[in-house]
This record gives sequence, C-alpha cells and structure tokens, in this order.
Amino acid sequence: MPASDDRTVKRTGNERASGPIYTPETLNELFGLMRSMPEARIAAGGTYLLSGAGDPPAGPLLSLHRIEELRRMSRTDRHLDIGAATSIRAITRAGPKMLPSILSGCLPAICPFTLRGLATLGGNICIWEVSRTGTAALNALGALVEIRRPGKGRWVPMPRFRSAGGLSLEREEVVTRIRIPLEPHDVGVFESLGPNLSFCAAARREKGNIDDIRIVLGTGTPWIIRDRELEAELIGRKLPMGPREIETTANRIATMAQSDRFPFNPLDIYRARSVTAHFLRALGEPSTRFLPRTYGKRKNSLARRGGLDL
Amino acid sequence: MSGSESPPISRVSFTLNGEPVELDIEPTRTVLELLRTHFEVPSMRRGCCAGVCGACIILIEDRALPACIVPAYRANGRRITTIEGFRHTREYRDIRRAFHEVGVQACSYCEPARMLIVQSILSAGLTPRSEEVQQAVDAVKCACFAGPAMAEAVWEAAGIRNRRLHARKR
Repeated sequence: MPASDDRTVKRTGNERASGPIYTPETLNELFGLMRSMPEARIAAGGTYLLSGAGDPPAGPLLSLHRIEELRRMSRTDRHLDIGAATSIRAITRAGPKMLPSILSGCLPAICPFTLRGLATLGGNICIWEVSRTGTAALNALGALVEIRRPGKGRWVPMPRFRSAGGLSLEREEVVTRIRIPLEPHDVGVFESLGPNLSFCAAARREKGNIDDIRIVLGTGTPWIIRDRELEAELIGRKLPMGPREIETTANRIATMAQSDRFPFNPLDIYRARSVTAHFLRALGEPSTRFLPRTYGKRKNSLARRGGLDL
Repeated sequence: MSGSESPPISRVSFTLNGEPVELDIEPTRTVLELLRTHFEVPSMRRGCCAGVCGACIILIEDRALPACIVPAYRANGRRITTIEGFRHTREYRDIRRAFHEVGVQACSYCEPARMLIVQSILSAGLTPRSEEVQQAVDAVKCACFAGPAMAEAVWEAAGIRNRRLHARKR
C-alpha cells in the first residue's frame, strides 16, 4: 500500500521513535551502510533481536530481508548453497529430494511452526546463544560458511566458525552463504530427543566397513558434543559392530554429555547413549529401516504452508 | 552515506482489519506492541514474547504468525487481520460452527489464536495434510481442553466451508 493513500489514513505519532531501519537491496549497499554506521546491528529475520531474548537493539538496524542474493538457494552435483537470509520455510519447501535428510529433519526443530517464514538458517548460526540444532546438523553435514567483507570473501568450516572461543566473524563481515557438501553418505539421521538434546549422525559404508562417520549431539548450549578421535577410531571398523564395541562407543558419548557445561538430566544422558547405540547397531543392518524415523526420504510436508516469507 | 539508495524506514503503513493505517516506528517495535499501544486491539495478549506460546497469533496475508516476533517494518504494506476483523466474515462463522459441532472447548485466552490458525490452514487449501494440521494445532500452547478436539475441528471446518462453496456454485 502506498504511504500516501487517498483513503482515510490513521496517523499515529510515536514519541519513542529513534533508530532508523535500513533495508539495503544489494550487498554493496549493505557494506556501505556497515562502514558508515559501525554501531548498526544486522537482522536477518529479526526474530531473535525482537523476541526480548537478546539485548534490545539500540541505534540503527540493517535488515537483510530485501537482499535477493542472500535469499537464493542452488544445488549442484557436489553441494547445496543456501543464502544466509533464506527463511526456514523456504528451505523446507525445497523438499526432501533436494535437501540432505539430516537438514530436512532438523529444520522443523529449529524454530516453532509459526516462525518458519521469518527465521533464517544464517541468523540461527550467527547468534551465539541460540543456535543448537542448526549448528549440530551443519557440523554433521560438514557445512562451510561463506563470510564476506567489501572486496573479500572466505569460506570457513562450520566447526571453526562456531568454535569454543565464539564466532569467527569480525567487524564489517557478514555471513552470506552456507554450503553443504552432498557427500555420498548412505545414512543420515537427525533425531530430536528433547528440548535440549538432538542427535545428528551421518555415515558411509563401503564393502562392509565404516568408510566415514560423524556423530554430533546438539545441546541446549552454544556448544556441541563431537568426538573426532572417536570418529577416527570408528572409521574402518567392520560391520556389524559387536555389542561390546557399540556399548563402549555409546558410553564415550554419554560420558561427554555428563560434563557440567551441559544441562542434561540422567534421562537425557540415557537417551544420548541409547540413540547412539541404536544408530551403530542399525549401521550393520542390510536395510536401514531400523534407523530412527527421520532417516531417508522423509515426507516433509511440515510447514509447507504454515508461515510467511515476509 | 554511501548507501543512500534505500532510505531508512521511519514510518510503516499496513492494512489493519481492512483499514489503512500509517505510523512511526523504531527498530525495537514488534507488531504486537504496535497493535497494543497504538490501536488498543483487545485480543492482543502479551504471552511469552518469543513466538512460542501462540497467544498473540494474527493473520498477515492469510498466514498465521505470532505478532510478538514479527518486526513492525516487516509488516509494511501488508494486510493484518486480528480476530476483531475476522469476526465479521463468513469464514469465521464456518469455523465457529465447526468448533461448536466438534465440541472444542477453547478458553477465551486461546480461542482467537486457534480460530486464526484454522483460517490460515483452510485459506491455503481445503484438503490440509494431517501432519500440517497437527503442527498448526500444537502451535498454541494453552492448558485448556481445546487441544485434543482441534484437529477434528479443522477437518469439520474444511467440510463446512467446502459444502458452503459448493452450494453457492449450484
């Protein structure tokens, strides 16, 4: 609707109105605004900044929702590129044939049904306190994050982007794309095990052995649980794994989950142990039908119509 | 400033229940705050303010969204409908009848949100998938007894609306 409508327009003053909102349409325009206003905050979907969970944004706000380049999705034989400001709903609508099963399984767990038209994957991983399921799934998928600044760009692997020290994002930099390699993993699982716990695992089997495996647990904290040494030990093991091997591996995951840094209760730790054991047992089965329910081509009609790409 | 192509937004205009409105905003404002403070919409309840409880659900272009999480500037140029505006439509009467026939006993706190959610499902199509229905119904967190019958009410409302539309064609 045009601002100067001929019909009766109700005008309401707002005495608190202060910080301007900028909606750049190109990345160059965004970088120009970031340079001229270093104090400005960036909002992709705006759901965190305005939810009352974060610090109230003082000063100018730069909204990314009109930058077409950040809302694109593309897929080649080797990888899937997702623009940082693509909404969860838009990603979900791409469908399970285009998305890796771990990603299509984790999207409904990232935010409530009604928020999927607003919330974005890029925003989810850029907020240190919030990203839980998104980070875990992207770690299991071996995703890369494209970070750009004027005239420069770099790709950062997900574990380095969100390491123990915080986000690998400097001033004047913005996350523009997330690249998910479409490696030939023949098993991919995402399982939400409660409000604070999610299980993501991907594996490739070859000639009865484990050729590659990644097991990542999302926690209710900014950190994830992933043991690369354990993964390296599992690579090359013959399938099916013996009960003792499975128990030892599951116990190692459970021991990591028992750390004080994670808000897990005994039931969560039991779930982490049992889902890991279940996954490892199912890897040895010729059929993958025993895997947790989000495996494979999931009928993902979730939120196809339930949200709005504003 | 180098980025002078897009001037900053300082005013926002949208249609609220069919009436065009325009007002100043600031970045921290959400649609919920606007509707409560400037338009005093009675059904706008402040719940979790995190988009989880569903108490403040409104329709933006026929999609159900929690008003507490939608930034005001994202509603610019859109059509917003609250239960006050929706109450005068035939679609409302279909859903009302379905609630009555199925026996949905929603409390006054969550009923507006539940009705708007049903409307958003049915506006997307009269044959919704059961998975979608269940997810949408679960979007409202309330301790009243409406929950279990809600999915059935969605199907019932779809049937009522279908019959009405077919009767009109004949």
